[in-house]
Amino acid sequence: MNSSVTIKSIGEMNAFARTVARSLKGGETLALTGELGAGKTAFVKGLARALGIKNVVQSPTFLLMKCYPVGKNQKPAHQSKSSMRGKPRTDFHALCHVDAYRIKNERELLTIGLGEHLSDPGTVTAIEWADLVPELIPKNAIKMKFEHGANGKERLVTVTRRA
Amino acid sequence: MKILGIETSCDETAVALIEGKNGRVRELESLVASQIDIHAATGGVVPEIAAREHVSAIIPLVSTLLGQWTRRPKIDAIAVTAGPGLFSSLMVGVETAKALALAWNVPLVRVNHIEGHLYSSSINEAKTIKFPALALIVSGGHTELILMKGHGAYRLVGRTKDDAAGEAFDKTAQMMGLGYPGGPAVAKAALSGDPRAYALPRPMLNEKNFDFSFSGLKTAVLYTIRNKHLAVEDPQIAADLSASTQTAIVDVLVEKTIRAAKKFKIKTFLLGGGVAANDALRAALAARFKKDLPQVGQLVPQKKYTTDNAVMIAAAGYFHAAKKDFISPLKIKADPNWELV
Ligand SMILES: Nc1ncnc2c1ncn2[C@@H]1O[C@H](COP(=O)(O)OP(=O)(O)OP(=O)(O)O)[C@@H](O)[C@H]1O
Ligand SMILES: [Mg+2]
Repeated sequence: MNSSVTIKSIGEMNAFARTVARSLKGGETLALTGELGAGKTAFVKGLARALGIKNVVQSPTFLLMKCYPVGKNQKPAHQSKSSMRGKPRTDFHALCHVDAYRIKNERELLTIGLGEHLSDPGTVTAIEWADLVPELIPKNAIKMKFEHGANGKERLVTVTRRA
Repeated sequence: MKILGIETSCDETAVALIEGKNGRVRELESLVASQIDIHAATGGVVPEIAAREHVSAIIPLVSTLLGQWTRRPKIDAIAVTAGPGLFSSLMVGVETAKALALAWNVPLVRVNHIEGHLYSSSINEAKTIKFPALALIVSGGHTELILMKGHGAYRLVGRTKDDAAGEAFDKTAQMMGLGYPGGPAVAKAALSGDPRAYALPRPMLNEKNFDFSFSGLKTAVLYTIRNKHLAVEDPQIAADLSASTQTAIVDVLVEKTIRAAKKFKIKTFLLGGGVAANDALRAALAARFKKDLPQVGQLVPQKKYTTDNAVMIAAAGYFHAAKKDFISPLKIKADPNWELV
């Protein structure tokens, strides 16, 4: 499944991030690609806000990885709804924000614990510059390609999910 | 008071000995075993290799350091970086410090790496820190304004909302094809450039808070190259764009620092972190303080203390030790995510 959206402002990017947040159950990997300034971090900021995370989400380029707790009262809307319908609730408890920009060797990310986060059904992991660490990206990852648009405020996002 | 400092939070295994007295610190000796060559061979920092190298380097470094005196100096405390950083690397320093503290029966101090940068300007400096003090910590991963009410009493008053200042240097250098690390490359190119050649934004300058944002500047540089079809291979164009970019970064850092300095009525200003080596930033800060706040004492680190080193860890350790702020060797732990403020 492939879909493309044109985003005209930072506000629209946040709205797009809210839509993505609603579709997440926990356990997903978001493989973000696109050149410098294309909006990968801006998207994750929007995603974090949509998930109720209050922390300031800084660019993880230097730190490589930063994880934020997704609190109980801050669950995205779909989870409380599904629990009302009596379905088992996924314990979606963390958003991990990773950046492979500086990475020269994929093991760097594994030794700081990325493996555990990727296999944790309660964690959503968003990886910037995912194309630099192809071996680490799970096959069922949601791929999101960010491109610069016609002007400084416009971005193109192409989402590819495995059918 | 003699303090032994140990720092292994990332690439460098470093040990140092300082003398601290009456709020002043002086370097006695500093040794660094760099892993740059090893990392160049493996193409980047590989944490297990980094940790293994720290393990093999640390004890010889300590014995070389102490072996330089015919009579071993009496050490009053051991200071070690406990975070933030790579866990496997931090652990080597922490375990070594713990073992030495127990073996020598010397008190132990746990130091935050950022706190080391914060005190880096006090090394070999005659001026002492007067409170309230304001520190600007600028590096590849940090851009923070920290208010100090006293030694060890920190309050975060401003920070970057997205990219760090050092990151802005690195990423714009990449766009201009100037290579890595970007800070020195942009600074060098800027020497022969016109800072007014290109109009770039001064992010967050219109907001009243003391926060920073550099991701918009990063994209503005990209769009300038693109929209004007700049041939960045042309050294003059790269020089002009570098000068314009550096000035934009420096302007924001200086303006927010001065505003915070006025608001909190500070007595001392401290600069620290990798970007503190940037001459344009040093000159601009000195000029603005002289003009707007001549009464404020400025402490700027010697350039050798702007990169990771153990002298600054020992220096921070001295101020803790002076307050008897020690930690039991049985309790100290490496904390890779330790946030100072
Ligand atoms: N519609 C938009 N969507 C996203 N960002 C936008 C938009 N319009 C403007 N921007 C600005 O563009 C910049 C995007 O930078 P950001 O750091 O998010 O990119 P990135 O892809 O993470 O870059 P890097 O590769 O350096 O990590 C931000 O300053 C953001 O405010
Ligand atoms: Mg980013």
